[in-house]
Amino acid sequence: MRDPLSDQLGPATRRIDGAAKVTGTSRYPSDEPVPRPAYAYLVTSAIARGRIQSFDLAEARAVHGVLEIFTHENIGGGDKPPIGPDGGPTTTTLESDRIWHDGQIIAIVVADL
Amino acid sequence: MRPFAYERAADIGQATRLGALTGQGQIDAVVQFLAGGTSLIDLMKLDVLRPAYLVDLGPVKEGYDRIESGPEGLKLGAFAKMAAVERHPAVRAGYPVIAQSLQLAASAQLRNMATIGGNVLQKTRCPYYRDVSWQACNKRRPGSGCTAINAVNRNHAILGVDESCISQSPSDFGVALVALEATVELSGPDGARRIAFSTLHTPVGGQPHIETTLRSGEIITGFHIPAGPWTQRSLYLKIRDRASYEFALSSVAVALDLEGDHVRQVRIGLGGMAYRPWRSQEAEALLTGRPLTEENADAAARAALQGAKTHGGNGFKPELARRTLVRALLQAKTLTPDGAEA
Amino acid sequence: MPTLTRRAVIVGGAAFAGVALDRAKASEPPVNAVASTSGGNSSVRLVVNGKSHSLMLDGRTTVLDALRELLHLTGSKKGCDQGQCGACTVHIDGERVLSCLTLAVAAQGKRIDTIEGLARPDGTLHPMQQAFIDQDGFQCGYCTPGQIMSAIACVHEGHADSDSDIREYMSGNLCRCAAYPKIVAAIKQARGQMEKV
Repeated sequence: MRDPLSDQLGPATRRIDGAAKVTGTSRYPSDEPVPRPAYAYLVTSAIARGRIQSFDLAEARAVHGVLEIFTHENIGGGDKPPIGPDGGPTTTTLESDRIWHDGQIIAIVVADL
Repeated sequence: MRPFAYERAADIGQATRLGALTGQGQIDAVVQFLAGGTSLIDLMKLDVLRPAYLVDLGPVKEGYDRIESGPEGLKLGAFAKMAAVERHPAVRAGYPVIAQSLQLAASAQLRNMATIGGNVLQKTRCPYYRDVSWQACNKRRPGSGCTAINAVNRNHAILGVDESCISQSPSDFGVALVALEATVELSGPDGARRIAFSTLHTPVGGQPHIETTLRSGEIITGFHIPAGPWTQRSLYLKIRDRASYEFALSSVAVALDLEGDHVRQVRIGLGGMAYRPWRSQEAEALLTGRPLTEENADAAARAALQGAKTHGGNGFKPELARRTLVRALLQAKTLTPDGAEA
Repeated sequence: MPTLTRRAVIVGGAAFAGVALDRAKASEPPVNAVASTSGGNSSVRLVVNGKSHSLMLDGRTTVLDALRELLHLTGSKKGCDQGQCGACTVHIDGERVLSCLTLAVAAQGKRIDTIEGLARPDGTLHPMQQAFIDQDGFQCGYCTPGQIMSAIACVHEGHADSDSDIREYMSGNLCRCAAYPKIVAAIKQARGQMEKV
């Protein structure tokens, strides 16, 4: 198809990823095959501000397929969070018992179904 | 999704027996029927519905998916897919409001999956109902309160409002059914019975967790829409933020029997307004026997929205509903008697 | 009769539930029962792109997850997993449907066709696939398999005769890259090369 701009910009070209994308063979991150994967499910806060008082994970841990449940209590690390670009305070995932926003990740359930 | 036991019912009799504990729309029903799955599977993924038992009605649909038109009216098998009913020539020609209410709903894929029976039983879209992290929801947890009343309630009910729950019914097809005075065929443990569609959904009455008058184990098997001189000159007008693929902010099903510009009979249903598809006999009474003018349509619309109650986020709705009804009436007036655009 | 609770059914399994629920004939065995207790899998047969597969899966598995996780057919995409975006669109018995809202157990005995089954064995692309390339009907490509499966059905349904029809009947497929004008162009190119079914 001749397009008036192509004289200046060069001829129209088909994308090199075209065939892969229209046949469903182009791989996105969740398409990459991983042998015997485990899956992580993010548990998020239903409140916007506050503190986690405690977790009761016994029943959840007993569900078939659950490998581990990570919370701020057992995630490890213990490093201080990085300084923000403006030098101000910042926070990172599973850092402490404090809730800073609605939807904050407070636990990660890892299972292999 | 929580685990469940799955069974495929071989026929309607077995489905009825297996479904003995389906309740009346309560979310803690132990058994749920699976038809198209477009509402059920969605809500199970959201952990709103947690049936221990799923009874697949797939094999039952043979015999209950026919579309038949005759001198008494239209007979629609409840297991007919939305897409099949929408494109049927007898529905389009004889009852355009029914065809349009289906065609303007959902997406093409959903219309291929969803049954018309399931469509009238689908659950509300209230975001607080659909998100189990909200503790106060009288529909999910009777007695816990209603979050929506003091929160984002832009698309919540304004008619027939009960302070225990202001969620609204999302079915478009139901609005056409209530306007055309449809009846519903049911099959249950105590046999078959027939009810007016307008009595299928119970008034909230402080108990929003009980949604229908279905008895446990009852299955909708069909709908009857009576013939009448108003059915052909009919339309469904759906007002929403997006041009397609969205639930209604306000919708109207209107069917007119006109002589010149004189209204002999009119049928009006309102959508996006209440816990169930809403028939407005107040508006019909003000239009019947009078010329269909904008002034009369306006007065009828005011009568239809009398008693509307808003809760902060949906204050715009009564005026939007009035304008939707006026526009629908004036548009229907321009149709030829057989429903074509003049 | 004991109170039927979720716990009782899950712990006791389908046999218990069958007896408790089936009041009329307590001894009638469940038909096609797929008992799905936590940790229990069952055998399900799916016919995908003309090939029959016998799979052991949890009753909660959707067709989308069966395709992607068990059959490694990752062409169908998980965009929302809620039936709202259309990226998971496949054909079941010749009709376009959402695989994320279809349970695999409920799809037994039906014909499932996915994006991977469109091209001919010799690699020749379906006219709709070729049209999406020719018209540049995509950018990131994530919605593309769903768009193509939906578009093919749209043409077969007779819903692609006008631009406004195409836009309306393709409204169930979202494209965050907004390739919509070129998707419409692709469908217009392909429809002339396809037969209405």
